[in-house]
Amino acid sequence: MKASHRIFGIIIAIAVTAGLIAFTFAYDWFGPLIAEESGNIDNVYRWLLVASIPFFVIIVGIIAFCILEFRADGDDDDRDGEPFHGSTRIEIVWTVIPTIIVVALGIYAWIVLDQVEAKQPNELTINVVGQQFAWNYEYPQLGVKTSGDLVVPKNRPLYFEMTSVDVIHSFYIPNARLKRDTADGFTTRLRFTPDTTGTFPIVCAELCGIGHTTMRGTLRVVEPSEFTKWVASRKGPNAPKPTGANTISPLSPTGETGK
Amino acid sequence: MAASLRSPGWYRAALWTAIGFVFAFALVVGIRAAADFGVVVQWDSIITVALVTMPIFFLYGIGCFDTWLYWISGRPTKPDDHSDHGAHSWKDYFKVNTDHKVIGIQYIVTTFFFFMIGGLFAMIFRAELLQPGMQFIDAQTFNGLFSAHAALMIFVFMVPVFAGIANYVLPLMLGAPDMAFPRLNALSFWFLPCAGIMFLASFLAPGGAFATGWTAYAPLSDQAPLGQTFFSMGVQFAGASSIATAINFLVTIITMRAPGMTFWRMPLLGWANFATSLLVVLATPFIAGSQFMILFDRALGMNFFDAAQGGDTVMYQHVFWFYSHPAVYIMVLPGFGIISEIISANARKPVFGYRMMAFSLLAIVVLGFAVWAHHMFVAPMQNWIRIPMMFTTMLIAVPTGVKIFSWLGTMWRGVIHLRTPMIWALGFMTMFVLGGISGVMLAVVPFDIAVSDTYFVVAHFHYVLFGGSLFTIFAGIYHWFPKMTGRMYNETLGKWHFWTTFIAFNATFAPQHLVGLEGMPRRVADYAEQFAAWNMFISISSFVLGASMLIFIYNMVYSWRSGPIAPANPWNAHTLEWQVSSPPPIFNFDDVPTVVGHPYEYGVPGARHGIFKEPEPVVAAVAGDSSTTSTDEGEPAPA
Repeated sequence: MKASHRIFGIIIAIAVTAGLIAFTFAYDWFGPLIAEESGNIDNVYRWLLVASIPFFVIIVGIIAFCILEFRADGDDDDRDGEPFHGSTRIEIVWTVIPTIIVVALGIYAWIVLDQVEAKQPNELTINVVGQQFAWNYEYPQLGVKTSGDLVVPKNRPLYFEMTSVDVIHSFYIPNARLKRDTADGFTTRLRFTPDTTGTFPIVCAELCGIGHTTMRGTLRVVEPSEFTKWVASRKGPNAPKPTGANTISPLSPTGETGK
Repeated sequence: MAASLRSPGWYRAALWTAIGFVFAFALVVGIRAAADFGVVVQWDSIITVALVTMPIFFLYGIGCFDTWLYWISGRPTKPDDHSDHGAHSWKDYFKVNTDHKVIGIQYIVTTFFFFMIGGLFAMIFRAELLQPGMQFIDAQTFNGLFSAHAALMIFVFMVPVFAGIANYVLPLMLGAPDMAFPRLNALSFWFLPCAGIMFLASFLAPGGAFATGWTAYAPLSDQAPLGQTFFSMGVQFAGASSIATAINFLVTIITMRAPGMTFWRMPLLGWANFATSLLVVLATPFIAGSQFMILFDRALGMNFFDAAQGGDTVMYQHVFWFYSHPAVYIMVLPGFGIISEIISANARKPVFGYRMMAFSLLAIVVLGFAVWAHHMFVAPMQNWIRIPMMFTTMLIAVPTGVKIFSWLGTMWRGVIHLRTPMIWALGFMTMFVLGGISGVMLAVVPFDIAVSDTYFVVAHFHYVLFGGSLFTIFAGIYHWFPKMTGRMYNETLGKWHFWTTFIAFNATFAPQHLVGLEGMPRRVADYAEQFAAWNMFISISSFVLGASMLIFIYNMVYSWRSGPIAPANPWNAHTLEWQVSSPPPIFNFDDVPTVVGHPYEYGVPGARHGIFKEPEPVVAAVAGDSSTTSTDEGEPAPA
């Protein structure tokens, strides 16, 4: 292979790396984000990709280079390769550099995790109870119980305390990038602050039996004034009683924001 | 007829399987009647007991225990002349045989049978997922199909097929006449059909097949219909098979290497199976325990996992994953060994950093036990433990990366022959890197909270297990096909197989990353409209992927029957299995080889790995010995 070809190959590798990294930041991977804390989860994902892309390009590039440069001349080529057995220096390099990168990414992720899960002032507590195959909610500070639709005010930190009455479920809000299992005998916790009004899916992410597929609900984020009205309507004398039964909502597309 | 019912074989097996059922029936009914239970004939209990007795009685009938029982009862045992070694017709593969070469082929063919059925199940539920809405199977069948798909693929394909390949190749590679415990080896194999048939038979159980995923999380599995018991028991038999084989490999590797083969002169496939067997022996009892606890909860009401009775549902996950994470390495480390052999032989180069290759395997074994809770980042587990588990999981990328880079170093300045096994090996490297990258991503707690239990996870582990492990299995089978059958496979068909599988595999699983990121949960029979386009694409690709396996099956069957006769050493490789005829003599080595050097000294002038007494004059052996002393220690202490 000519030197000019090698330079051309390196240019291609750099261009592919740059292109993939640009794509990482340009592409909408997750759909609309409705939790202000979780923006960093999307960033963690993007930085993980940025750290991984060079490795992938280098490995595939070297494989391609070896095939082009060192290929045997047909099956009858009985030459052997150059018999070197290793190089301590390069082995140290490819042990130490990945170690530094993964530890650095781990520390970054740790910081983000602490920030996502941090306790916040003025939290609205919501108790979530999973059952086969529906979610039930209670707002202990407001004295309201409901099931099916979960209605929350915009821009108020939410604090979920969750459990289950039967098998394990997993309370998953894709647009908040958050989920946590609910299990009988345990209380699990989740926090986020919705910053966009609209309706968003809530799905069960842990296989919970024959109706797992249909265990879906809706998160409705509304303006605080509308939320106050909604609470009042639930507390009036004509307030609907929570059924507690299986309330299957139709599959709602992700991210129908009401902005 | 009476004689054939008394001697080991299928007639006696059928008879004793039936006796096993009658025994279970009589035991349960007898005890229930004696204890004055209301319902005497209680089928759930009878079938639960029958799932223990029928396979064990079957194993007696087919002849797995005969020698041991003769010895125990003081009757004269058959003289140990190993006259039943070797297979002389296809019928011999359906008998209990103690020859590791026969057992290896029995393993590979049986596991591929279950692989095809598991793949068929996947295509059925992919057909259901072709469009949103429920089309032609109900939710219970859907859950049963994906559960059985995983159970078959993991327990009776991926784990044992590596045992099959190693069964055939490893004793030859080590210069041993057989495995250390040939009868135990036969028993390990015959456990497998018991496990696989049990998984399949669960579809006939009232209430349908086990439908709780291969993870069988409690308390869902506690409450599931009878089919769940088939899973719990099937795992016991598959696990017993793994443990027995692993002990056999460990003893064989430690005690039966040819004279002169130190651990540092052992081929890396030997190292890989040594590491894998350590994992199997240490970890498999945990999944056996987890499934016994489920079984006891179900059959005996023991309340291990009933929170209302003080049980702990999260304990199940800890015990389960303490096996099932190391299981991932059980399903890939042997493949690492296969890839080292193939890249070295097809690039005509010594393996780059041989000692680091061995140490990285051991590092993965140790780290592999310290990462299990990364499957539980969203489970009700202590929050603090997520951080150390995140770091250990991410650090596993380091020894794995060492292996990938060392393979690249092995190819560097080689003379690369792009034969079918090599193409699969290169395909493995690219795909496994992708699976490894998504694995590191999933180790990162905040990102895992977002995508855990979504299709992103499904995509990740298929890149690891299909693009990773299965590609190494195909590489290994093509590489040793001439040795196993004495015939060459068809190169053109092998390459067609690779390219159709490679493209269809990526078309099937790459888009699953995207739908997972957008929030499509796994294990659902129906999905939101926004995922419809990708799911249709994934389903159609999966059908092409399934069809690509037919090329492989055709190539194997056709080439085994009428491929060109294979020479002893078609790849001109140095390891011992290539120094004997294809297929090898019944007792492997007419003369015990002496190992005088490293297994991968391609291009080193005068280097030899093994020498045989007969063809080589003694003088030459001595000369070979002295000429390799320089290379012998040259590599292990790289300067």
